[in-house]
Amino acid sequence: MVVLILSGLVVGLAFGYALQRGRFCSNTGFRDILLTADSTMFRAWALAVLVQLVGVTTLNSLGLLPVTVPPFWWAANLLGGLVFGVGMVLAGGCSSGTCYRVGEGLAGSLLALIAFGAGLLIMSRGALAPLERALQGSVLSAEGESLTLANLLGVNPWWVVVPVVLAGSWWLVRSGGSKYRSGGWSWQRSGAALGVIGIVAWLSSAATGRVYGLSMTGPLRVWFEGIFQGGLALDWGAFLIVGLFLGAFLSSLSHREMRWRVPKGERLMQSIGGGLLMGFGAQLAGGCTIGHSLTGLSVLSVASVVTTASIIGGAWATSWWMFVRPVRQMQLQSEPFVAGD
Amino acid sequence: MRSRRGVLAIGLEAALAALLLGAAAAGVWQLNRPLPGATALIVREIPEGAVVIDARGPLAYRQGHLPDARRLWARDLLSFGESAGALAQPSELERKVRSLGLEPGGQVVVYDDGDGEEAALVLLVLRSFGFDARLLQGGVTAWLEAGSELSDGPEPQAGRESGPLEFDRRLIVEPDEAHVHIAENEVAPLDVRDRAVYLAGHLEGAVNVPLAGLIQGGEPPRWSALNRVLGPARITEDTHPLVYGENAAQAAMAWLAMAAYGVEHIHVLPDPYPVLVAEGFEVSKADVPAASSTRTSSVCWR
Repeated sequence: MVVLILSGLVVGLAFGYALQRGRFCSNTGFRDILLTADSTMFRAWALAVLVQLVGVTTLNSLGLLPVTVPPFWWAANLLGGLVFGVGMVLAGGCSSGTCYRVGEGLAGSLLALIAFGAGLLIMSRGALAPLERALQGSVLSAEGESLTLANLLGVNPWWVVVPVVLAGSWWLVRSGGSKYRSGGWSWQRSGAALGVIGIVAWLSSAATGRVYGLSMTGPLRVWFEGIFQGGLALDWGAFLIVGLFLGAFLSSLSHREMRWRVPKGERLMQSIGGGLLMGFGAQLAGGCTIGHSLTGLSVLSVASVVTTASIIGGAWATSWWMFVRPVRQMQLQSEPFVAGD
Repeated sequence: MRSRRGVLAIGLEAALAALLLGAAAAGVWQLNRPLPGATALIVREIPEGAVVIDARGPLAYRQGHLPDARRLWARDLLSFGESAGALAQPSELERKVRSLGLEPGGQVVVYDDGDGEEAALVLLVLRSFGFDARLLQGGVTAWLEAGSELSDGPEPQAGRESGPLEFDRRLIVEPDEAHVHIAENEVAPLDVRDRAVYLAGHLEGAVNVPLAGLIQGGEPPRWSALNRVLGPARITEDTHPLVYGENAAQAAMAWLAMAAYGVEHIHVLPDPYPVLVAEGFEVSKADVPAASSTRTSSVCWR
C-alpha cells in the first residue's frame, strides 16, 4: 500500500511537470477567450477533458476502474463556482496554475496558495462553516446516485461520451491558429499529456481506496489541516501535492525558468484576496478547476458541469470588470467631440 | 545537435513517462487482483479432509448431494412464530451444530444450489461457533458444470456429538448490545434491504447498501468492487459495520459478501427489521446521504 500511496508522488511529479511546460492554467484558458479572443489554453483544457473522458469511460466500461461522481449540491456548486471564478482572476491563476507558479518561484502565487488554504479552512471549519453546511444540505440525485449527464438522460454513458467527443474533436481540429506564445509545450501536447496523467491518476488513486482522479481542493485542505490543526494524514492526495510542486520545480529548473519574483504590494494584496476567495469557492463547490472542470467532467458529473459553467461566468464577469471596462472607459474619454453630433 | 539541457529535459520526460506507466500498471493490478478475504472464506475445490455440509432442504438432498455431505438445513437455524425469520436461540443453534459431530479446528465446506442464500446462514452460524467454515463457490451448479456427479446415497452418520461450543457474540449480536453500540457510535449500521423498503423506514443513521448490489453479476470479487459497493457506506479499515436486513438469511448473505470483499470487524444483527422496530430501536425515513455514488460493472462471489 505504501508503494501505491507513493504513486501519488509519481503522478504529482508528472502533473507538475506538464502544468509548467504547458503553462497550463484554467484562469488563462477561460479568461483569454473574453480578453484576447484566443482559445489556445482553452483548447488544451478541452483536449485534456476529452482524452480523460474516453479513457475513464473505457476503463469503467471494462470493469477495470470504479469511479466516483461528485454529489450535486446545486446551490453550493453555483455559488462556489462563481466565487472561485472571481477569486482566480484576482489571484492571477487557478489552483493548479498557482501551484506550478510556486514551483517557478513566484512569491505572489505562494501567498495566493496560503490564502487559498486559509479560505478552505474558514469555509470548512471556521466562521463560514454554517454556510457550507446549509448550501451543501440540498442534494439532487438520481435514486440515490450522484447526477451524471447519462443517468439524467437515462442512457448508457457512451451515448453522451461519443457525441461530446465527436463535437469536441471537430471543434479542436477546426479552431484557428494560436496567438498564445509561451515558449512551452503546444496546446496539443499539454492537453494530451494532462489527459493521460488524469487517467493514470484515477487508476493509481482508486487502487489506494481514494476513488477519484486529479484534484487540488481536498489534498490541499489535508495539508493545511495537518499543518494548522495537527494530525497530517499522508494519503495519495497528499503525495500528489508534494509531487506537483517538485515536478513544476524540476521543470522550471531544467529549462532555466526558475526565478524568484516578488510582485508589488498592491498586486500582492490582490493575490491574497483572490486566493482567499478561491478557497471559499472551492470548499463550497466541493472542488475547483481541477477536481470539477478536469476530473469531474470525465465522469459526466452534473455538479462539475454546473460548477465549471459558474467558474467561467465568475471569471468572465471579473475579467470584464477589471480589464475590459477600464479600457472602454478610456476609449470613450479619449474619443474627440465632434460639433453637431 | 541537441544541447546538454535539451538532452536532460528529454531524459527527465522519459523517466517521468516510465514512472507514470509503472503507476498505471500498479493501479490496474491492485484494482483487479482477487481479494484476500475471498480466499479465506470461499473455495473453488473441497480441500482434502474437509467435512462437507449441505445447507439445502431434505428434498433437494435426497435428489442428489455431494459425496459424504452431512446435512444442516439453513431453515432449521431460524426461529418461527412472532419473530419469524430471526435466528434461533444460541442454545438451539449449538444443539444443531454439535449434532454434526465436527472436530474442533477441522475445516468445513458448506454448499447450496449456488446462489449462497442458504449456505451463507449456515456458514455464519458455524463461524460464530469458531469453525473454519468456507463456502464452496457456485455450489451444486458449479459442481455439475465441472463434470462431477452427485450422490444419492444416504446421509453419513456423524460420529459422536461435538463437545460444548462457545458462541461468538461479536459476530452475531443481540439487539440489546446493538442498541448500545449504535448509541455510542461504535458501529456503522448498514441496512441491506432494497432501497424502496429502506426509504419507508430504517434504523436511525443506517446507510443503505442493498444486498442486490453486493452479489449481482458473474465476476469474482475484486478490489474495485469493494470500492464500488462499499464506498457509499464510508467503510474504512477502522469501521465496524453492523449489518441488518429483512431477516437473518439476508443479513447473513450481506455478511458473507462483505467479508469476501475483505471487510473485517463485521457484526450481524440477525433479527428481522420489524422485530427491531418492536424492540424499540429508533427509526427514521431520512435518506442518509452516501459519501459518493459509483458505477462500474457488477461483481459476484458465486
